[in-house]
Amino acid sequence: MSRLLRLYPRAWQARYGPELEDLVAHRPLGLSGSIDLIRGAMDAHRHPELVDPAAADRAAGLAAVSPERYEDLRVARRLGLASWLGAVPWIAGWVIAFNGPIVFDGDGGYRDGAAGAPFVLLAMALLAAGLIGQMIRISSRARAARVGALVAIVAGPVWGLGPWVLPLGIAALAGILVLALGAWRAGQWGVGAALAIVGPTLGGVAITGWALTAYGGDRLSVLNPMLLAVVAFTPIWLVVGATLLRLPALADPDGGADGLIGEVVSA
Amino acid sequence: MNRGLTEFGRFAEPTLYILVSLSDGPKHGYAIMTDVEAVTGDPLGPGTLYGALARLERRGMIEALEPEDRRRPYKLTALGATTLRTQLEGLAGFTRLGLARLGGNAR
Repeated sequence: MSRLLRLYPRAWQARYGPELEDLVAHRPLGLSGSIDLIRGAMDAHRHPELVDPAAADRAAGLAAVSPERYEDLRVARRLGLASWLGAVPWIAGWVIAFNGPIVFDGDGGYRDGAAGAPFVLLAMALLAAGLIGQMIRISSRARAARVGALVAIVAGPVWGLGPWVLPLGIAALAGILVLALGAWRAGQWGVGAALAIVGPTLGGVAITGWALTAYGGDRLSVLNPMLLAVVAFTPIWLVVGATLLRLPALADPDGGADGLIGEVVSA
Repeated sequence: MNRGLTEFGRFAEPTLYILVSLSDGPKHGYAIMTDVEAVTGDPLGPGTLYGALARLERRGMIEALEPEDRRRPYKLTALGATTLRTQLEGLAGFTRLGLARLGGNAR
């Protein structure tokens, strides 16, 4: 699929994607065609009502599912709620840590953030729960996304045990980014969800890099920009949770007229 | 109900072209694009084409037929034909008026 077509909402991709691909295959886009396609994608996001949203569900593997698969997705949904809850200790842990008692050593003063560490660890554990939910939900076709989730499941909680070990944090963030981009490429996530993780995460990394460079020697002043970075990373918990919430319809085991015995339901 | 094409905003002109293109039989997206280009001299961008097709389909002015491989033909519905006729008659009246006034000024 042309990369520009991926800018369209999933429902549009599902409904018009093959036709658009065929058209683009016969008529190379060129600059004006590319701009027109981007405008079309923006219009499609503004007018989702033009396409049946069930088309997106079918494209995302959310067509009516078997009772067994439905139960799995309900479990994944609960894990998504856990991920949402994880945003609270994530913020709280760092606020507590950044307001810890000032301790002086041979290199000057720093905040003793030990009191916040259990909260950060809890946040990472809850995020790992949400990522396990992603492993349950995401199709096996989305291999890159699943590998990214797996890396983050392992690296995240371990980093939570020792937040000063930056390589582990970087590995967890890289896993999250691969999950977001891989799920988007495979049509499992919408472009909005992927961007909601990629944008803030890269922003948080940039803030962290800048803060460590600019204030690295001043272990007290560096905390202010680092709090901004903490906030920038928070959408990770929210998006991982949000993408697990929608449940599909349940397939009729007897194969009814429309194959469904219920609408999308909430657990 | 015929509500015309003005509600389509920037897609009003492309939707008119598409309705005209489909007036002589069903066509898929690429065929519509080449037909419109042949008639107007300007290519219809893919984003504009499918934005207009989605609107026409949603309003019931065109209908998608069974896909042939990756191509899905569209055909004009009765509502689409009525809308097109009304639109073209309005344009014809407007054209006659404009030409008459232009002719009067020329004298």
